[in-house]
Amino acid sequence: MARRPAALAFLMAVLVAATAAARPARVVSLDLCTDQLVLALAEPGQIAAVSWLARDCTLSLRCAQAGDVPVHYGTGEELVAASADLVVVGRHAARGAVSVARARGLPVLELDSPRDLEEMRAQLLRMGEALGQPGKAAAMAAELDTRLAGLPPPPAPAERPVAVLYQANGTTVGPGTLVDAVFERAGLANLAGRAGSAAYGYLPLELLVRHAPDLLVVEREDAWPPSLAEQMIRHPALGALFGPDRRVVVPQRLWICGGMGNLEAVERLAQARHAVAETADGR
Amino acid sequence: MLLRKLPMAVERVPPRLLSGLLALAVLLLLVGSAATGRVTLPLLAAMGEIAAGQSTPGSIILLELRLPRALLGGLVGASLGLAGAAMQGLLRNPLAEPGVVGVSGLAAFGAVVAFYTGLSARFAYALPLGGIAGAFAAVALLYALAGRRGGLLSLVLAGMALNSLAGALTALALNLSPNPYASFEIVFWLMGSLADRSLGMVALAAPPMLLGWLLLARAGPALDALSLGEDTARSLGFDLGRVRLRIIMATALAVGAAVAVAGVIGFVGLVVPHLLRPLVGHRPGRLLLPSALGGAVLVLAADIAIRLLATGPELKLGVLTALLGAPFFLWLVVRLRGEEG
Repeated sequence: MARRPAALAFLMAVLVAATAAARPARVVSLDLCTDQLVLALAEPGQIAAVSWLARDCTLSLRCAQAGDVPVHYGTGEELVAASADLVVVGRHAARGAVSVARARGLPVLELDSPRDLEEMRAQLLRMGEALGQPGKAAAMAAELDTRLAGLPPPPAPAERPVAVLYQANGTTVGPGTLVDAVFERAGLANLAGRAGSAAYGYLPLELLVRHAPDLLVVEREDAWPPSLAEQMIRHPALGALFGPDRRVVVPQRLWICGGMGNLEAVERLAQARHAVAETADGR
Repeated sequence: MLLRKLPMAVERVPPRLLSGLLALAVLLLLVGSAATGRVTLPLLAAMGEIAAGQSTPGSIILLELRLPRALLGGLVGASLGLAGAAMQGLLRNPLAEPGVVGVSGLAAFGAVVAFYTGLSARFAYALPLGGIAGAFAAVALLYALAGRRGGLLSLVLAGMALNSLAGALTALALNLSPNPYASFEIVFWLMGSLADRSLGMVALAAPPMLLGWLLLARAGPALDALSLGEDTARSLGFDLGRVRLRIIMATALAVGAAVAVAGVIGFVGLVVPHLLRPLVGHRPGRLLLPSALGGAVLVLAADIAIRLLATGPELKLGVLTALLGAPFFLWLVVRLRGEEG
């Protein structure tokens, strides 16, 4: 009997050694979205570099954490200098640096942009495997499942309030995108899909006012730093139509990439949907 | 006396008739502008809703989107047409035009600095003031460089240099902005647009433009006298220093404020005075009012045209005026060269 704990200890030691061996020690992430997954899942010591965008707090949920690791500007020479043992990147980002990585025979993990929360969840687990941190990834996936299950069920399709994400320069986001999936989970009908526009379409201000959706979703309300592109979102015509109860802010960093931020976006929108439904009932 | 050599084929039209016809066209185009857009809008119904104080999509579109666009089209067009006529009179050079010689360009730079540094977010009038400061610097500089001895070539060359400098400075300022969209917005500043402007912008830009118009309205006799040469004008009792300052100030006010809210819309001040000049008997003073009205006609009509042509995001207004104006400019250069030689 005395042997058993020893055997167990030996087994544990082997397992730990095996995981440690499988765990890359110099990970370079080449785009904003993989940056955030790496920062969420890897040990700080595993990260050789993330992209400079990871430090931009309007785009990145983990901008503070990115301040503690080296950043690169997406060039091949930086990749070589970082002596990476794993390169992670989105399907369409930093193609030059990716070909440098391939030419040097480095392992490259390429992820597509997730189109819904299921794909996002699968990527989370896949990144966890690649980084040798499957436990952390599984814990995050479990939290995701719990919080999604805790949301009130969405109303029947015909009863869903119509919402639209109105971005800089009057662009909207339609079907087949993460944003659309977040709308769906929050129980909202996306105007961008209904107006028959493509995934990333241009919706003139006049048409938006004419359609007058129930809820206007914007990515930020403050005017700083100023641009004409975002001034459009604060046009008085929209102010006249969408009062504070019909307007919701979902910061870009919550859904520009797949990740736990998507969950917060769903929760914010579900709450706004609830408020709009209440006002509609009260009328 | 270059101005007097220009085509005389068309007989003079009674000034009041000419201005009356142009004013009528402006009114019709203002209504046309309010009636044109992405959605078909029953104008009378929407006006009824506005009168009843109702906030419906139709009333919002008409009041907050179509009205400021139509008003700015008229105001900006009139300012540019008027400024073109005044600059041509002051510099005694038929190629002087705010867009061509860099006045609009420097106005855009001034407005860009005021807007992207956030100054105009704190103090709204910084936007037109920035534009006016840029325009003033440009007109004063041009006058100093090429005004006195009015050589055709020296003005156009100085203007070309000024225009390039203004474009580069604008690009630099936009690149320095921390907002990622800013660097793409050079298209608006260099090519102008009236899309999605607001009534607030009309309120910002209209006062300086109107002030500029008033100052120019009283400069007519001086411009007529100047067309006879500086010595003659002086002997007629005009204080040329004050006249020059007045015209430079007025042009800067009108063009600076126009560019600050609509970007650079080129060639309006070139095409319009040239088409109208023979009709007023080549008197620079008498050209002012018709040029203002004609400028409004051109800009309003062009702005309606781009909305009718639009499929995706709209064409910039300055693209259309340049497509019309640049060939006209070339034609003018060839013609003037023939006359000089």
